[in-house]
Amino acid sequence: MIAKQINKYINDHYCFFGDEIIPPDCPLLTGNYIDSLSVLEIVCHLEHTFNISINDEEITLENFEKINSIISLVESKLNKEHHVYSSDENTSNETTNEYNQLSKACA
Amino acid sequence: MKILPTKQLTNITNFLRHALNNRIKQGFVIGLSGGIDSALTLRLCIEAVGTERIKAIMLPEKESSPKNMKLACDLTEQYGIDHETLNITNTLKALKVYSMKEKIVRKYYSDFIPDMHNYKMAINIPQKNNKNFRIYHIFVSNKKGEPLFQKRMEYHDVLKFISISNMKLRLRMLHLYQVAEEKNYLVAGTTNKTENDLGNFCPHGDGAADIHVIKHLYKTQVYELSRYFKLPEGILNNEPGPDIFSFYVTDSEFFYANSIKQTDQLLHAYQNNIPESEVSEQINIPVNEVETNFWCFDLLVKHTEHMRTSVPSL
Repeated sequence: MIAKQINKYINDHYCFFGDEIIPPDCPLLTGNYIDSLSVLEIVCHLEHTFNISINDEEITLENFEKINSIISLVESKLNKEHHVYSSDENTSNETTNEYNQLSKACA
Repeated sequence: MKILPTKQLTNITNFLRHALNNRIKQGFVIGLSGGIDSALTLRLCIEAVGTERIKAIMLPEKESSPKNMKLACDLTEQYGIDHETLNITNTLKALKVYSMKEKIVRKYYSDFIPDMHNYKMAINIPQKNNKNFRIYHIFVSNKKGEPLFQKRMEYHDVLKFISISNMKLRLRMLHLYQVAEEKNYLVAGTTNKTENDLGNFCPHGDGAADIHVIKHLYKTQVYELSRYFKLPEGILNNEPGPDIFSFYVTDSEFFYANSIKQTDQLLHAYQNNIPESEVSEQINIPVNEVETNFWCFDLLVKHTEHMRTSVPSL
């Protein structure tokens, strides 16, 4: 669920061309999908959507390099804050699967 | 990074004289801020064409530093050049620049009163040896400069704050060009290499000019040449900053997140492909800090490229 939401948000906001989908393991900055200021926009969205707090020290390349790294950050924060969410599967794999399905559909 | 001041003087003055001849113009207009860049630009233009063909314009507004204005005025008196001061506060009020900014400040600090408080926006880089993104904070102080409040700003507020602040710089550009056209002069640009290459200028604002006088010089080289010309101590010692907020913000706080000296050392090394390990030894900072700075330069150069190139067309 988390992976799906984040994946959708990033693709809706930063992927402008028709059938293109941002792969979850694609570097967002070097892939020219976002600039360094856009990271602040993503932070704001994550804080509001998942009711989490992301401090300045966590706004790093490591945490925002790819869709999957963002998902990992949110998951780890939700786990730490003892939030309950329903996901039986590894959400990063879930995102990769979703991407593969979407790619096939677009092909 | 050392320069030969006499060689610079010859090259720049020749360049400026040729520019006037080639474009059939009669002199230079310079916007004087009280900072070192515009002061050196003025001095170089005087060296090139003499005091008779120069017009300096001071364009203060209610949030400008009074100290900077005094430094600028004193310089025009010292050089005996034609000058004019035009306060742009009322125009900025009419453009709602202050009210729009105050609305954003109040979103974070609801008790903000312009007569009682000052504000600024500055970047926060929490860890110098980690690849942190540039995060903007808003700061509020009392009129004595004592800090009262600090908070991270949201993305859209950062963009709006920058766009509103840039209106000040673009209004100044309007006035400089009005005077330049009236007198058949060229607007002399004051942007230096450090600002230009990293994108620390406003397109069509302080970056707008007919000729760039010091754009080939890093900021530390601007200091070196200014010392050679014995510019006033007040200007040499003045902490550089954009002077766009009521709470004075330095260039290091607003943009570079480093001292000017270290920024230039790192930028020079970055642009000359000097290995990180070598840079680390040369300027005595850890290798991972050099890597982080180079990564930051990669982003800045890439994301401000459009500011340095001409408008695309087919």
